Amino acid sequence: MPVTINLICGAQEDGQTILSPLIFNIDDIKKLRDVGICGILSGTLPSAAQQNIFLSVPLKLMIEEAIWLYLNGLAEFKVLRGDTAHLVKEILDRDAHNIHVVAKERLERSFELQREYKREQHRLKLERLGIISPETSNKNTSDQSQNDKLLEASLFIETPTTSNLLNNLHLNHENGINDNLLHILVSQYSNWDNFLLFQALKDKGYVLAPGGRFGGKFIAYPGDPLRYHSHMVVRDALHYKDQPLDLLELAANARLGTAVKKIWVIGAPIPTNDKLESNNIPSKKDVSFYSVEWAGFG
Amino acid sequence: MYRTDNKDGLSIENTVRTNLVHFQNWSNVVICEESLEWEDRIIRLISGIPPTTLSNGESDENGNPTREFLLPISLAQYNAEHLTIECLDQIFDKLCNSETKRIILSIVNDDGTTVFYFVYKGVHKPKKN
Repeated sequence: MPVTINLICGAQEDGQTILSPLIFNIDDIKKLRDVGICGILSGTLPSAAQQNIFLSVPLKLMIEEAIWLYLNGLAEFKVLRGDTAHLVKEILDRDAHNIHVVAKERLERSFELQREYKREQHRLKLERLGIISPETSNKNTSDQSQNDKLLEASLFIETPTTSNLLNNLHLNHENGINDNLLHILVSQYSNWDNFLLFQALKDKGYVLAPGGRFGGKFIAYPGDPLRYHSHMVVRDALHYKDQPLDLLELAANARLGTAVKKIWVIGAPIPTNDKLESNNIPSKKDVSFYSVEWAGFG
Repeated sequence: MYRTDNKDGLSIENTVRTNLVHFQNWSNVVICEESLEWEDRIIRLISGIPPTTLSNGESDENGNPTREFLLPISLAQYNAEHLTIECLDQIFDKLCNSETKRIILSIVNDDGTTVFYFVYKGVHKPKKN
């Protein structure tokens, strides 16, 4: 059973969207910890701001973690709150017909329930007045069509104040909203190369956490962060051919890494000939990694 | 500015060699024969034996340190640098034997300093200290 990643959306002035992947369910958080996805607990009370170790749910995930969970079938997205209209617009255009059909079915169903109820009420009333006997009440009478017309005219149509359809839309796997959210996550918050680095390190058994504290993209632990110190500071993905190492950056990070007993890891996905990456279609690419630390002299 | 193709004493290979021999007390320091052409440059490794076994380094049966390989590179503030991941892959492929786990990046600054960094192929644990 996939866990639910709640996305809180907020529109920015420049048209960008903020998506925060959050998890509220404690059981889900336990499940993710078992697969080496730790996230960061972020819940606190505004009136009594707490230190890190006392923070509570929700668990905030890195974008790479959210993407990894989704691609491995361990999670699905749900838009929790925020201005989602522009997120679902594309879906609406594509699925307008389906939504129309679903809406119509719901209306018919509502009519059917009303008809049933009204016929039953009508029958009970006639019985009470002694116009028909209970034995014959189930048989159709000749003036049924007249009654039906009256009945149809009395049916109610609900004018909802919120859209039930849109709220439930994201629960439907096949409508592609999950893929759409994935695309937004990837394009606005990270880049595919960083995800490939994350994935490659995850495959090697490392647990990754945000690396801002040590001036990197990630820090990597050899197991659960509560049991081990982290071993590595991982830099943002480099471009394999076009991005030469900045040697001053190398010196700064390798020295800092040595001082905090970590090694500085750089990596670049090795380009392949397939054109899949432009569509953000997950492809397992090889990543070439190097680890740098101060030699201890000079 | 240092050029790697200089045959005089000013090539960065010679600068690193001098630093190793006279400042760091290395022995048997030689500039390797094998070379790699990379974007108008000739890349050559240097090898030598450090005075004591380096961190994560290996020793022979007598406890003496074994040969280490160094990649000289110049930190020229106004020149574009060329050390990409692809370049490192090529260096490990063409200039090192298959057992080489690491090389020592020797950064020659234009202020006269030379600094040394281990570069391990792949993901490596930090040294114990």
